[in-house]
Amino acid sequence: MPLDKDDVLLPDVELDLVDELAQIVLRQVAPEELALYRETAELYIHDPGFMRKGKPKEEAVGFGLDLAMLTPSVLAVSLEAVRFLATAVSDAARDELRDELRPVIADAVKRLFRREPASAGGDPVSAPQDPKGRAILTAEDGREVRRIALQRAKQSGLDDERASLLADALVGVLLVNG
Amino acid sequence: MADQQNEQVAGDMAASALERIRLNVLAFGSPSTSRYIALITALLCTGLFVGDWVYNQVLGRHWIKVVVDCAGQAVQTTLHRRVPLPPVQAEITQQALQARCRGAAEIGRAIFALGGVGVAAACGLVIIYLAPVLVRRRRRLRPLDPPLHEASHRFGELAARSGLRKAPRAERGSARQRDGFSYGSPGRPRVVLPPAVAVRWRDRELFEPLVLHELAHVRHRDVALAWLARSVWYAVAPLVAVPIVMTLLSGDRSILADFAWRAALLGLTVLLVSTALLRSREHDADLRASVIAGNSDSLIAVLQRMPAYRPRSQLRQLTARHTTPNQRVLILQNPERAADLMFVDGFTPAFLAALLLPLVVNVLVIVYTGTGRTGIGELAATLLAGALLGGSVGVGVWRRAIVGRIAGGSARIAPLACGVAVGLVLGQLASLANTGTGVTAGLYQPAWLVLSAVLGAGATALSAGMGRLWADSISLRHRHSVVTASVVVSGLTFAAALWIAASLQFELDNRGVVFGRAWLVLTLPSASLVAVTVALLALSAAGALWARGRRRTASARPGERGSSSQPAVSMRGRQWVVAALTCGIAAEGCLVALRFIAGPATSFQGQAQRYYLLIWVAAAAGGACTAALSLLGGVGGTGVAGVAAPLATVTAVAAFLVVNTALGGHLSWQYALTVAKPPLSVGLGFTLIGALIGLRSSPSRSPRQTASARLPAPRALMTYLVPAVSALIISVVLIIGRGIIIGPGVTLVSVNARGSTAMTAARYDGLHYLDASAAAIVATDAPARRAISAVRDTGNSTRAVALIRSEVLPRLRTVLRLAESVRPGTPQLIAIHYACLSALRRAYTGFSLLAKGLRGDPSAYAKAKLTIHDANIAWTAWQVGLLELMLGEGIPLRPSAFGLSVG
Repeated sequence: MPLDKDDVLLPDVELDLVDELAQIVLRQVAPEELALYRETAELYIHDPGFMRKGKPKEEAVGFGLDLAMLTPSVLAVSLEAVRFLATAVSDAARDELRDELRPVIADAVKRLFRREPASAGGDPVSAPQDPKGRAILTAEDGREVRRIALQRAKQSGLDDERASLLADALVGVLLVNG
Repeated sequence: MADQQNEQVAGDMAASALERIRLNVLAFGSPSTSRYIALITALLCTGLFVGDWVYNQVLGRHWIKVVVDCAGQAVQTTLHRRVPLPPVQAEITQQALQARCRGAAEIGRAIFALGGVGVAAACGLVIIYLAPVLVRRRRRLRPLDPPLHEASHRFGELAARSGLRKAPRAERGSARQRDGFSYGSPGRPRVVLPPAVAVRWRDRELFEPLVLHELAHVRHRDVALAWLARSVWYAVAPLVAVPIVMTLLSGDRSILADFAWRAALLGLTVLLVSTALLRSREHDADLRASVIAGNSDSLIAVLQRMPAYRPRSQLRQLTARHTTPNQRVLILQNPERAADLMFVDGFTPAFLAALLLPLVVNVLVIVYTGTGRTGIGELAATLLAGALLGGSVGVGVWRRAIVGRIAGGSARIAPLACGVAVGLVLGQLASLANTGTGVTAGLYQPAWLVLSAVLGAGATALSAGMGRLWADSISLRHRHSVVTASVVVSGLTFAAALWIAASLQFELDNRGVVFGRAWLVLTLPSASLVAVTVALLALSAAGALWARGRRRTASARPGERGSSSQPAVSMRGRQWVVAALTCGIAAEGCLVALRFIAGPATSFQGQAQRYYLLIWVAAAAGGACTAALSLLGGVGGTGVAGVAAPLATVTAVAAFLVVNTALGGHLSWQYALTVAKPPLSVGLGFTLIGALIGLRSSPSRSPRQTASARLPAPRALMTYLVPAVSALIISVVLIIGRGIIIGPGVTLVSVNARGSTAMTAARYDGLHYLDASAAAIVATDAPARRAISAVRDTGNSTRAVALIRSEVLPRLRTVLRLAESVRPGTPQLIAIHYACLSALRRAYTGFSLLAKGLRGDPSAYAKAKLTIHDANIAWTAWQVGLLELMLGEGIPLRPSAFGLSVG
């Protein structure tokens, strides 16, 4: 697929970032699903809308349950979050050539991921700086990320409670100033 | 109605938690298994129709040719006999010859019909073994391999806890799968977990309830049943489409519309019944899972976490495979509700049974046509349909009664009975067997379908009553025996009801009310099915009453926890015996009153009418007793009627014998049995009708109060009054309306009618024999009878010998000469008259020996007793022959009874 001049990240890079972010988030909200993460992620990549297709099948000699894996929702939310973050980071380098900056932007986005939970009372990891030293993930950004994540989570089929938990978890794994 | 149910569900769930008796409803079998079998059987029987249709298309012309040729051959054979046969016997002979001639062709037709079943079954088996492979491939199912091997291990532990001898294989689907389900070929079930559950195997609150639920399905064989039903339908649907397609392609579309709507209805039935059965089995699986888990808390928690209840449309409710989570929680909290029976629980098996019954009858009649024993086919078909109803409706009502006995409260049976009634009628209307016949439900007058409805509902009530009776008496340690008993007793009851309804419908519809009346009193009593059913019901009820007296404490019952169960209010021994005796005596009292008012019957026709009136009144005494007990004791009283109704009938007969003997009639065991058998058999019909009163019982959810040891005075009075009044009313109605109900005294044609084109020679001969010959013999015999009575009354042997020589023997000689002078015109009459001659000759010989014996010859005396006994039997046989002549208006209704052979 030809790269659109509006695409901040290369598809492969974007995929890697989504993959990494989703696993971090999944580790928080549903660590047990990590056992099947790779398989579910491949299914999602192949058919992102598979969770929304058709009505849930009422199985004969079944239980009547409708319990979906959280992984697809996490992936969907992570994708939106990565795109937003990439856009937010790249805004700081609006005047520069994006092709040259894409790897830098990807790296900057990756540095926004909180790989370890913030220790209580310890120093929070400082907000990364853009190449020109400006903060790129402010509280407002955090709120926006949460809003996007919540919206996307609901679109993926989660109820309000679970969508909210997922959105909070996502924000929780990002380095947000304030 | 859905809104009311929802409100009730919500209200029940919000009710304060009272201490309840935790009940293992599953300890007593599930009627839904029989419903599955009924569905599969009905689908397979559809193959009968398709096979027969194929035969008609392929070999129809050949069959017609065979029928025509055989008819011609039969006529030729009959006409060319050296000794021509009388018309009636000629007709019978021709029919038998035709049947034997085309027997081979009929067997071929039957093979095609059964082949249709075989094809459906074979295709179904192929599908049931192929489907799991397709399911596994299409849904990309895989075993619980690493990294989920611990989930597999946990699954195995739960399977062992579930009591399964062999654990099913655990599998999972892709992330697309959101629900667990079970599938697999018979004997190789597999449980598929949604990956969201498989990965959460540590979460006992989620993993265990779902897995135990699926394992319960496996244990209940739901996988096999559900997939078998689905597979057979997949096999039958294309078969059903074949006639439609072929008819569209051919020029003859005369049956297209008639067949199409039936086929469409069959498809709709399969859909609705399948989903209803799945919903029912879901509750059973929930209950089993909670039993295995030891409590239902985890399962309830999972159900309560499921999406909130959204109102479903009526169509959605009917086609859903699961009930709502709220309803499932309600059942788990109130297990006794799983045993509740609704209209659809009666409608479904009755509809399916009525669908398949005509199909099975048709093919079996074809099979037995050559042998002339088509009655076996009808009997076998009704036994099959009865077994299906017994296994579903019967087991259901017995289970409900036992559950009510333990948990307290009772449910209404009326909706279930209505469902059975409606199902039988609609099934008969929609059966494929009636396609293209031009008649509705196989009847020229569809109004006779009401017989199926009434007797079916009555059988339901009687089964429910028997269940209630046994619920008071049994120990659930013998639950397998109880299930067997419920199937056998209920199955026979339904089979007898179906057989009576179908046979009587045929007689009334094809031959009219006269033959219908005759069938009731002549053919019905000889039906083994009815006699066995009456006997079994009596033994079953008597056994239950006896067991109740020896019942142990409720601690012997499994599935009872918590407080002990409430003793039921039930009919006491003295009450039902009094009711039965009262009914019998009241009935015979009415007959005595008739004799007193109208005097003795002077003509033979009058005697015949009195005899048949006795049968009706004695039979109706049983029905009145049933109605009275149902009124007094509700459903429990209906159950007791199983033994009380025959007792009432026997009482009426016994009272008749007493009166008859007192008036000079002869009494012997043979005679008593001959008189008792018809009303006992006919009485089953009255009992089924009287049982409908028991359907009016009101339901209750609260434990019933303990019955007081003594009945209040008004109730004690009712125990005598209600049966007496019931029997009086029905007896009076029968007596007053005997001309219409039983039949008028035959208005015999005078001898001047000879040569009338409206009268066949055989019929004229029969009527002349009745009017002239038999009447003369009876009149001449009367003095001899009086002389014999005088011999019995005298206490002096010398005087007796003198009377025999001077009065008895000469008069018997006169009668004998008269009888020997009669020349009957047909072989049937010859056979009937032979009984008269035999009786008179033996009587003459017997009294001659008696005279010798009274003079001191013991061997002569003994021989005399035997000979006179044989004479009485022969005389009775002659009387029966005269009755059959009278009912047939000159033609005996049962020529085979006189040893006539055909061909």
